[in-house]
Formats: sequence, structure tokens, C-alpha cells
Amino acid sequence: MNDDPILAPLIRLSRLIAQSASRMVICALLCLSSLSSWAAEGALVVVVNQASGIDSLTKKEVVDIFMGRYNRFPNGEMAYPIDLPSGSTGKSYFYKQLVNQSERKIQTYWSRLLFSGRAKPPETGESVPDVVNYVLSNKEAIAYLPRPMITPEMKIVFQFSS
Amino acid sequence: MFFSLVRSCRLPMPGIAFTIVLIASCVATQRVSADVTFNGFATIAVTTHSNDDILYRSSLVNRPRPSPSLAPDSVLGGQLNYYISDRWDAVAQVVLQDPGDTSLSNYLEMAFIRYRPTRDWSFKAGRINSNLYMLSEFKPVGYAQIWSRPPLEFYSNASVVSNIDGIEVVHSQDIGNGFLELGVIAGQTQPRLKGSTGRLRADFEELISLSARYTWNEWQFKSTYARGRVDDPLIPQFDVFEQQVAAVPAFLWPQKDEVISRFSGDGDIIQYLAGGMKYDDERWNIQAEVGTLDVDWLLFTSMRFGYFSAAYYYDEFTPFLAVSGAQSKDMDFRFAMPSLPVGTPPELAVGIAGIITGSNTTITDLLVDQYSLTAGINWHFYPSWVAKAQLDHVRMDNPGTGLFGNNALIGQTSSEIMNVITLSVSTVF
Repeated sequence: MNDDPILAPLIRLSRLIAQSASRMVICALLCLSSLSSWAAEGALVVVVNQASGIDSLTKKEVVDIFMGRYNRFPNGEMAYPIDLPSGSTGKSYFYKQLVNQSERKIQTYWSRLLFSGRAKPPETGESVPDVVNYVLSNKEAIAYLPRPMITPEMKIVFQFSS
Repeated sequence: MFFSLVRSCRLPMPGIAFTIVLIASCVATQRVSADVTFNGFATIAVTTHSNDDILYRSSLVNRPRPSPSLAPDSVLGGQLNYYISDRWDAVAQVVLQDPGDTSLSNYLEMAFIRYRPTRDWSFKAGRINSNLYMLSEFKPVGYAQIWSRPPLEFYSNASVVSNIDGIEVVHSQDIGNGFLELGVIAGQTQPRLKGSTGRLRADFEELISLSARYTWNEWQFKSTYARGRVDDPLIPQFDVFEQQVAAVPAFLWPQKDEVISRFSGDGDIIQYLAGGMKYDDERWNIQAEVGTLDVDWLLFTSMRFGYFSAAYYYDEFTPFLAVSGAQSKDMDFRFAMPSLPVGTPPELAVGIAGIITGSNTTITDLLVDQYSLTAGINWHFYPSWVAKAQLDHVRMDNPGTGLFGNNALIGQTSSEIMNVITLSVSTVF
């Protein structure tokens, strides 16, 4: 630990910059490159906020929430699902794994539910970091994210078996 | 007389296409505020058909139209969702299409408030979807369907009771790996049809609907039973007809009260039962429904109807085939000419014969014995957009109007064939 009154803040600042840059690089890589690599490795996980009362979910319970059958978790807490951006590999992979449906069919499915007044579709994040922030700022949120993006403020409640 | 209740209407076509563009351009953003969202759907379709004697319409509440026309299958809908709290929300939906009766109320498809106290229970009050059919909740949303329109022989009737003013209770439950929804609706509705001679309305009172929907992986099953009472029917020029019948002495025509009763429909019980299934995997969409409607009212005859449809998902293209049919249950019922005693004044006998002939002609005109073969393809050419081309080969075995309208009412006595071609583009926003 450096106690120099001049150097110490500079060192802390440089560490912060390095951490931020590291996260930005990860985000950029995830956003710009195909997500198939982590998808193929089973690294896509379903997460909630650490403060959520939910510790784990079955696949069917995840289906229930992301397909609009229930707007609450099994314990009765509200559930606010959020999707990765439309057209992203991560979203396509998630719904293929979850219900074996393409994103186009998912959109058709939601147009039925929405215009029947039965349910509204999940929010759509503008980017992976946007989804991360949504989960971090909302204790009733539920999302699917690449494992490298998981922070200590989140809980993994479901992951697809490889 | 009221013989021409469902005869074609030659009113100017509303500028649906213009309205679609106008309203869509006014919707600058989809999210109005944090708790209010606006979404919409639209279809622009041109429909042509091959039979000059028959006027096409896509449902019983719409106007019969000559060919070609943009009106029958073009739709614009908008929906507001207001999320009041975790437990309360409200939904209002307006659908602009081509109704025969242009009362403002006819365009309000849904307007309800919902309370969800727990995960499993939901309560709605207001104007709610009748939920009688597998597709009835989103029938106007072209983007959500395989076809250019839901199978006409089945869903033309569905539009008559597309919504109910009342309450709905829904219970949801996981059963095994499936998901079961049980629903009860109680309320009333006022179907609004329009013939060439004016408005045709009736209240369906004391409506009760019980429905069950079970979803299990790629499978979905649905069954519905509904029952109601026809009340306070408003039939164009029926009072004139009633006066003419009432003027005939009962001893000359004992059946005259039945004639009035059967055409009036007032107090008749209407019952409906339907079941359907859908299989939808990554390649195939198989869907079928059958239904039956029972009522003594001659202006809304008892029928049986059904369809079977198969579609194959091939990348962004989905070719499909369907067969559907609708048939009145009693094709033979007609009123008989009474045996008039010797000495009956000739003008009275002619008058009775005229009433009976006219009544029977109306019955014939309203009977349905209609089948369709449908082939088409839809193309998801852009996210949230789909283009469709569809050919319907329609055969009407009954000489009456069936589900469509006539230029030359009643005259024909043979089967009619009509080919309908529809080209459409649908979107959601």
C-alpha cells in the first residue's frame, strides 16, 4: 500500500480506470462478437438481484415468467423479466434453449398475448450492460446473461444444462 | 319487409387505408409515459373475388363488398396498457375495420380494469374479450396469425360476440409440465349487424362462458361452453311485418304466433360449445377447431362449424393449407301454407301466402352451407412485418346468402362458387 499523499489517489484512479476499461472491453466484445461461443459452453445463466427472495428456479418456472404465464415468482414476489436486445445471438439462443422457438415466433407469440390483453412482453434492454444495470437496480428483475457479466450483486437461479 | 336483413350494403368505403396512415403517423412514440404503453397493429389487404352475384365480407358484422376492395380485410388497431400497480392494470383497445353498424361502441374492442391479487388469480371488469374461440382474443391481429384471416366459416360467427361487457375470473395452475387456465365470464353483449334496410341488433343477456385452456409444450387445447338469452332484438321493419301477421285471424293461420316468435328471437336461449387444438413446433403448425351453436332464432341460425389447418415453417416463409366449413343445422325448416277454409277472401289468402313466401325466402337466404379450401403463404420479410398471399375456393351449396351478401337476393337455386384472392401486409408496432 502506497501512503504517498500524491501518488495514492493517482494509483486508486488508475485502478478504477483499469477496472472500468476491463468491463467495457468485455461488454464491447460481448456486444460486437457472436455470442455463440459462451452459448455453446452453457455459460448463459438466468439471474436475479441478490436481494430477491428467489434462490433457484426450474426451467418450467423460467418459461412461466418469460412466456407471460405468470407475472410473479413462485413465492409470490413480482417478476420483471428483461430481454437482451432484439436480434442478438443471446436472445435467440435463450429462447431456443428455453422453448425451442425462434425469435420471430416469440415475437408472434407476444403479439398474441399483448393484443389479447393478457400480458405484456418483457422489457428489452438496449445492450448487455443495460440489462446488467436493470438487474442491479431492480430487486424484482429477472434476466439471462452471459456468465462473465455476473456480479456479486446478482444470483444465478437457473442455468441450462450442457 | 325485413327480408333483406343481410343483403349487401352499397355504402361508400371508409378510408381505412388513409386512416391507418394518419393514426400511425400520430403515434410518435410507443411509450407514452412510464406506466402507460401504446401498441398497435395494422393490416392493409386487397381482396378480390370471382363471383359477381356474391358480395364478400370477412365476418358477419362487416359490410358485404364488391370486388376488388381494400375494406374487408384491412384493420387498424391501437391498445393502451396502463399499469397502475403490481396488482392493478387497465387495458383499452380500439379496432377500426369495416363494420356494417358504425356506432362508436362497435370500434371499442376492449376496455377493462384488472386485479391480480395473487399469482394464480385474475379478475377483470369492463369490456372484455369473449374468449370463446382459440383465436378470438387476437382475431384482428393479422401479424399474429398464419392466414390472411382466421378461417372464415368458423370465425365469421365469432365476430358477432367478440366481446362481453361484464366480469371475468381466471385461475391459472401448473399441472404436470403443462399450464392450465380456467375462466368464467358473466355479462351481456349487444351484437351489431346491419342489413340493407337498417340496423339489426339484439342484446345477449345473462351470458355465462366457461373456458379451459391447457398448454403443454408444443400442444394447446381449448374448450368453451357459453350460454345466453336473446333480449330486446331490434330488427329493421319488423314492426311492419308483425302488424301484417297480426292482422291475419288466428283461426285462419294457427302458426302465425310461431312465425312472429321464431323471427323475433326475443327470450330465446342461445348455447355454444367449441373445442380446439393446436400443435406448434419449430417446423409445423397444425390447428383445428369445431363448434356448435344452438338457438331457435331464425335470424341467427343454429350451426355447426369447424376447420383444419396445417402450415410449415421454412425460414421466413410459411406455406399453409386449410379446409373449413359451416352448415346450418336445420336446412329443411320452412313455414307451411295453412289450409284455408272455403270462402276465405282471395285478397286475404294472397296476403297470407305472401307473408309465408317472404318468410321462407328469408329463412333460405340466411341458411349457411358453405365450405372453403384455402392455400397461401406468408413471408416475414422484416422484423414485425409479414406479407401474405392467400387463395380461398369457397363453395356455397345452399341457395341462400350464407355468410356473405348477395346482389340478387334469393333468386338463385343452385350452388355458388367463389374464389377469393387476398394480398396483405401486416405489422405490429
